[in-house]
Amino acid sequence: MSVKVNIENLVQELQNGEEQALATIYDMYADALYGLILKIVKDDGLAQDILQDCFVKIWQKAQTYDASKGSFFTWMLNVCRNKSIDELRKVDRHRKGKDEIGHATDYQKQGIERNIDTIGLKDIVDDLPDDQKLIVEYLYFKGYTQQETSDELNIPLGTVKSRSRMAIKALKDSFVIVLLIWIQKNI
Amino acid sequence: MKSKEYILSGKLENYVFGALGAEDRLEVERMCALYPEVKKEKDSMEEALAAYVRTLSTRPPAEIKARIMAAIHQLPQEKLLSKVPSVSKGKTRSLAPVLWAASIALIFGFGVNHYLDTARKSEVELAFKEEQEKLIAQKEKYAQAVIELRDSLRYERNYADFVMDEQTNLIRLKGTENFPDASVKIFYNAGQQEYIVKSDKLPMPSADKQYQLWAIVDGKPLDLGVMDKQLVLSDRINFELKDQAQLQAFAITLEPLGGSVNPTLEAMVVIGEVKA
Repeated sequence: MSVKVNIENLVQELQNGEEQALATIYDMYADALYGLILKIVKDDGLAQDILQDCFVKIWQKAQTYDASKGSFFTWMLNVCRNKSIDELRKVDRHRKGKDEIGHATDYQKQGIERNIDTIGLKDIVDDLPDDQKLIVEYLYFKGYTQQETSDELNIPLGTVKSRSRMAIKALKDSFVIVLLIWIQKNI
Repeated sequence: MKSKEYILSGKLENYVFGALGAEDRLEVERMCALYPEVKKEKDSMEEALAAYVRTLSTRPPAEIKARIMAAIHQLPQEKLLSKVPSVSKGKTRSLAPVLWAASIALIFGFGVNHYLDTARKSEVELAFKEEQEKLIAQKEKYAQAVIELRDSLRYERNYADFVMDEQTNLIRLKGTENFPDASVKIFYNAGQQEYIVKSDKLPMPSADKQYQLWAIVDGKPLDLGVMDKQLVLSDRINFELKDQAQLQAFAITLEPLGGSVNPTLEAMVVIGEVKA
């Protein structure tokens, strides 16, 4: 359909070096990318710097995006996630020793971040059982491997595997509702 | 066969969560290139995660955009060799108005740089462009959301249609002597040659064991692959048989990790007969 063509065109324009395309992409995706970065690094100033770096990277590396491998949005998410986790690790290395124990429980206490509240989607994301949420948190937002997650949370590797599977399934199931609400909020 | 096992292996989830090393990542990409059904599964996982990430959306401070546009204005893009022709074409096109502007500027005696600068910053033009961008972005967001919604609805409806289809048989797999409480359902549709596994009650296997699904066809066991440890409900799985009438039963055994070539009879957990 026409939309698909539009996004493809936009990516094509970006790959051709048209600055206007990047501006349009910023308007469409900056909120989502910034939300992801903020969720990972939990610091406004740092998140803003990372967002800027990532858009520069999206601009510079546009030609390495390969549409046959996945959507452009997912590609941008990966750019932002990887950069954020790198930066987070740099910060964590400085802080190390301060709170080696117990940051798993810290997160559990902390619950869902404020960003979600502002959008009003708290309930839906809350539907994900805590143990699955924790897996998403460690694998996706903290960038741990399954083995590291298993060590950190002190649960068997097999459980990490099955929970990540269930988490994806649950995300798929809530997908429709999330979109419905997202449409209401954004259009 | 191979693609189905791959989908159940858990690698795709890891890929989507970004928890794989470089080597495994390449393997997943190879499998996606080889098997459209693996790619489809991976894409749907990515979509779901992307939709989740969208729920975290937060508006960055307004000045960031200008900072980014200023930064990239100084920076060349990294080019890939194979794409050079199309790139140079694009460049020629976008340079044309600038050249025009430059020659006009010369005619009027302004410095070229000064003219380019003012032309770019023309306020009316900027305001107009911004408005236009906003409208386009909004339209795209809306249309994109509708498409995503439609696709996922289609996916859910597919599931329901399959289970309610007249040709879908419910096969109850009951626990054997050693596993009296175990129970699994299989929805099997001979016409569409697909089945869904729903495990109602299966004890969690020990770390070195895994469940393996078998079809008994004409008295012989046919390997349908190992099951995820905590599988509750599978996707629709393709199952082609030359002669559907020869399908006699489905069974699940408890095997060493990765499964066995032949089923271990004493490790049979559940079995259910397929009635014609």
